[in-house]
Amino acid sequence: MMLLSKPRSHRFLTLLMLALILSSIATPLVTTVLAGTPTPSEVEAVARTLYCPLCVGERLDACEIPLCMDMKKEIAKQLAEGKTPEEIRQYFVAQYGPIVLGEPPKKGFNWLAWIIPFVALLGAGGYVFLRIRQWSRGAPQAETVTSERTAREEETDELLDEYARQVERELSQWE
Amino acid sequence: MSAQNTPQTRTSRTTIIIFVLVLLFIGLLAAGLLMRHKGRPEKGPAPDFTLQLFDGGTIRLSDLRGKVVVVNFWASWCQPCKDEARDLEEVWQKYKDRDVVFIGINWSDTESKARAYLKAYGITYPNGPDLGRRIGQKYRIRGVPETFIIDKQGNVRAAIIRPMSADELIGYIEPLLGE
Repeated sequence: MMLLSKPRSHRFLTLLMLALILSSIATPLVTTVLAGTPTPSEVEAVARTLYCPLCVGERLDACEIPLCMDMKKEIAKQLAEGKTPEEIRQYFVAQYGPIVLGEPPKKGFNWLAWIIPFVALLGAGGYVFLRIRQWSRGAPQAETVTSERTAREEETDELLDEYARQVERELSQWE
Repeated sequence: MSAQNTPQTRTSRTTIIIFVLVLLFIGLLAAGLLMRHKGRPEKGPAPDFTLQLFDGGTIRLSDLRGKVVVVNFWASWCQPCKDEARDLEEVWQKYKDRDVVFIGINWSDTESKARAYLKAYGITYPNGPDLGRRIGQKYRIRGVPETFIIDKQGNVRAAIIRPMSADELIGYIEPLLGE
């Protein structure tokens, strides 16, 4: 390895020091600038929670029509401005209505879409409850039937035993 | 056990209740669908609205009685809207000093794109965004461009669901000015 002469090594060390100082100043600056630029995944994360206002049930992150592309640019712009995802969502609701949240607006006929699942759940729950109660009431009857059948069988057994004893008695007379 | 409480009676009563509920549900569904497909207003009183304009002011339709009003729904991403943009401005320039008002309603768009569009096509008549798409819902529009011609009494006289030429638009406006 070739050794550097003293003035050259001194210059090299000065440059190295300068580079270190500059990088230590520049790094926070670069980080600050980059912090204001949202990453594609940050934009996607907000877009995933929104829906295209023109398409039927298509999520914004998967939508490629010009309006959706503009909306994604708007998300990036607002994230860069420091808006929270919730603030951005509210902005789009104000612009396009609640359709962008992928849920029907809670008014008029649309209330049915909100009520029916709960009514259906209550109905199904009620039906299951009634069926279970019916079965639980039916169970003792089955038990009674079982016990009746057992008593009948015991009676039959007793009769058969008596018959067998009588046969034995009569046979013993012949012996 | 009385006849009213037999399991068969209970089952048939439950069946009737379920049947009535299903019928009720179907009825509501049908009513909702009929309301939804009522269609856009093509005659009769024009639904009133207040529009916040891009330039900061507001405009209310009901304040414009005595004037012929042309309400045009548009979007910057809509090619047919671009096709008619210059014709609309041309007709506006021709009639703006008479009893005619043009209102542009920017539907399902982003503000920056909408402003750029207005600048690009040199549009000078009042324009504003349909916030929450409430005006579009009132007029039951299904897309853009859609144009409604409203007479001096505030009644819808025509609903045009396609881009229009200047001559066609003049053909709608002229007879209404004479009324």
